[in-house]
Amino acid sequence: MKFVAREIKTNVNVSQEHPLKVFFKLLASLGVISVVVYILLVAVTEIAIQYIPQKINHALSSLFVNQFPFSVGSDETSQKVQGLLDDVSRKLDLPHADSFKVSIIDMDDKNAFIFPGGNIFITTALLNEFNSENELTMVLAHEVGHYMNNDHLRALGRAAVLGGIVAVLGVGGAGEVGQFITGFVNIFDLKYSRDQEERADKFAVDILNQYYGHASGAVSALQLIENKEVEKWTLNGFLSTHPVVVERVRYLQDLIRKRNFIIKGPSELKPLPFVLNLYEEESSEEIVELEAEVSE
Amino acid sequence: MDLIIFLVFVGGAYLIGQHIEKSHYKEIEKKESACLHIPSVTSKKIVNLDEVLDAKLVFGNVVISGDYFKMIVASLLNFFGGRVTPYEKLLDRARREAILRMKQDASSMDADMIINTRFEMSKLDSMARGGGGTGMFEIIAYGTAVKLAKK
Repeated sequence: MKFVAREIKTNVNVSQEHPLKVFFKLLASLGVISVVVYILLVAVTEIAIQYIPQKINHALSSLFVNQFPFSVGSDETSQKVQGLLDDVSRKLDLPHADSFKVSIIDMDDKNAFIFPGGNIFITTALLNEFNSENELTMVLAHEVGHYMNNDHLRALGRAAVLGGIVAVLGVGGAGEVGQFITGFVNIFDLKYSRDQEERADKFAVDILNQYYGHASGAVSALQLIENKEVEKWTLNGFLSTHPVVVERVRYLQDLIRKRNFIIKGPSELKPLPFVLNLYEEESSEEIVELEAEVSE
Repeated sequence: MDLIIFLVFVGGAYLIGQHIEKSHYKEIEKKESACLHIPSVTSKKIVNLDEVLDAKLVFGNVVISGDYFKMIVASLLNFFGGRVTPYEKLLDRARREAILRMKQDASSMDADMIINTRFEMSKLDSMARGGGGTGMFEIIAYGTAVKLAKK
């Protein structure tokens, strides 16, 4: 037999299917699974929160508070803010009024949040920004609004179900699939959490109007967190959880107009119930030191 | 946000991986046509021992790794099932490259053919990273290069 060299013209060992086509097919399948998971999440939490008794709500709260190294509501400023919140909830006869405990935490991030059970945290950075009691009340009422709408339970329930699914997939060796599903669900969730923010804003401006007789401070309270939003915008733009402040402000202004709430000038706003010396204290000490040096 | 970063990574890995794959295939085809004069066969007894002037063990060794894109597709296919097409190409490249290196080894002794060609393959990163990683494979092709008496 004579050997004749032949060039390899075809290759049966590789499929000619385009790799991107394979990838997008898989991604689409994951998308479908994620939609199913998402619907499941919404269904489970929306149904479940109707049946969660107050007792369990409180039990959950203790779980969360213990994770923080600081004491809840012990300092003077916290107590003053607490006093304001108590006064608002007593006058307006809010349900679960005794559940709300305000604490100030020392953080550079301007933020306020509420945990299951009703623990509200306001950061010092945000507290420093307030120009009036009205703005503070707006932020407090916004957090209370989240609580009244059971948004914290929704978040918890969804995290639990989603976490469970991801954990099961991880144990089954499909950890990447779990990560993909989490990513997809988070995108679907953005609209959901924007709706939650708007509902809380709506609740808050009603409280503000009932307590003060006008709705001044509502819009400016939102604008206080604008800087934070701008930073967010550069980072994740359209994926921001809180609707961009401009949008929220527009929504709030429409609402105020629709309900014929009165807006008054800055002179009508109440001053804050406390004096914040978070930065001044330090500087006054420095002055004392300087004076001592001069006298020597 | 995480998803955007992820897609940038996957997209980047895909483009780089495609480029490497294409240029590798070009190189393989070029080398293959250059090595056509040395056939490699799996048969042991194709030559008459009396005709063999010289013989030598020749082998070609290739270590090749998948990329991030291939890994993601493979891990998803791990869940959905189906042919892992990105790795088919990867292993095809490695096998052909291994044969070429073996042939280059054989051409250094001016061999006429390689008989009794065999393949061995092992996965390298399974122990180091607990089965994870992008998939790193070693493929060895070996055989006996023979120089025959000219008739």
